[in-house]
Amino acid sequence: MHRWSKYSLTTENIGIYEEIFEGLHIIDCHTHIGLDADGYKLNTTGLLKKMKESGVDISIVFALNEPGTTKDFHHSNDKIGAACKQHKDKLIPFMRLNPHHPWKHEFKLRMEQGFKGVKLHPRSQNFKIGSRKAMDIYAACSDNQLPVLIHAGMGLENIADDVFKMCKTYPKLKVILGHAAFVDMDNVIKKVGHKENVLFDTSSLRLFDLYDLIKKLDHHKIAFGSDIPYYDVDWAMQGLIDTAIMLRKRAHQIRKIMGDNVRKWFR
Amino acid sequence: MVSLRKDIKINLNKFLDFVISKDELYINEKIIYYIRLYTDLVRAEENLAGGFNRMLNYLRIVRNMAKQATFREEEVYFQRIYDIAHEIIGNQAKIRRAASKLKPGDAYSDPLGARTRMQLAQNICILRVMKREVK
Repeated sequence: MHRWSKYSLTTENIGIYEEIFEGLHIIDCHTHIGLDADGYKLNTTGLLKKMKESGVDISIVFALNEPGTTKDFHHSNDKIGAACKQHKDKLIPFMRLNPHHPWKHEFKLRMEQGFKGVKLHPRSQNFKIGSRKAMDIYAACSDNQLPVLIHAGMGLENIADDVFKMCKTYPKLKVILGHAAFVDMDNVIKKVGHKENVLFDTSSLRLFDLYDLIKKLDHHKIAFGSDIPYYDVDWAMQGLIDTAIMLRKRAHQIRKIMGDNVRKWFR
Repeated sequence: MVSLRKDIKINLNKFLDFVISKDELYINEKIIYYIRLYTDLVRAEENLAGGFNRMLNYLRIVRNMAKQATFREEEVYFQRIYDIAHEIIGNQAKIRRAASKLKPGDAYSDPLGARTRMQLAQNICILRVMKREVK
């Protein structure tokens, strides 16, 4: 049982935590290891420790915006590959790519090494979600059935049209919208919230945004993410579960959000 | 007449004690404390772009309040809020440099993760208000 789960929102909720956590397989779909330009860092041991403390079974992991490596992310992707090779049952590697730099060789190399997806960051690498260079990467991912996790949070705005363009052009592309596209959430939900291959991850959301997300979007479209080391796994999990309970989501629905929705992409 | 008033007063006090139990009073005080913290955290966040010194002032208030809180069962939560405020204040030089490039009112930039950290602290406050249990 998790450290915090002994607390209930109301007495009526007694028992729901037990039902949620019974045999639950938690997947955190938004974690980083490495060092970021802004000073945040986390190593593999630190991530695994946090996962164990919080009861997370598997994490999708990718590099931070590491100084000196963001041109092609080769060095950072190496580190991710090494970590995931050592902890195959715990970590799912995503490669980071820079659309402004020749990426095809890096993409092929990481594919061969068993990387399971691509992480893109439009603000850090300064590109638009709907730009031609980014679309080329989506095409490669779609052809190779690799999911793309794209940052859709801080530093961006008015992204709904671009997200729609991406999903419409590549209908088979599996997309995880990082931070649930909270900067333009209503519009993004309207445009792509019904699409089968799109998930909204819950990382680093304010509770109000989380509330809106769970209220407005089908629970099959939501995936738990923490954004560690920027955010705490425990708090991310607690906020998500309690908000879902508050919105009268049932245990089986919350269990899907906590892992099942994203796990089906990696079977 | 005087005696009747006294009786009414005594009974009213008993009634209030009955209606608002000590537990309830305690919970209310705790909620108000968290709301005060939350409000200052929101003000701090609002000032990240264009009012850095004001942001620091609000964070100092938050840090002090978190340190001085007397709700023993909430210690772990106040400690977390304290740590967040303390960390941002400690990194103020770096964050100030990054934040100086922001336009006033920019609500979506996150220099050195400072906004995300403040939002985490806000979320902790809201979660604790939602849970409102007494130990």
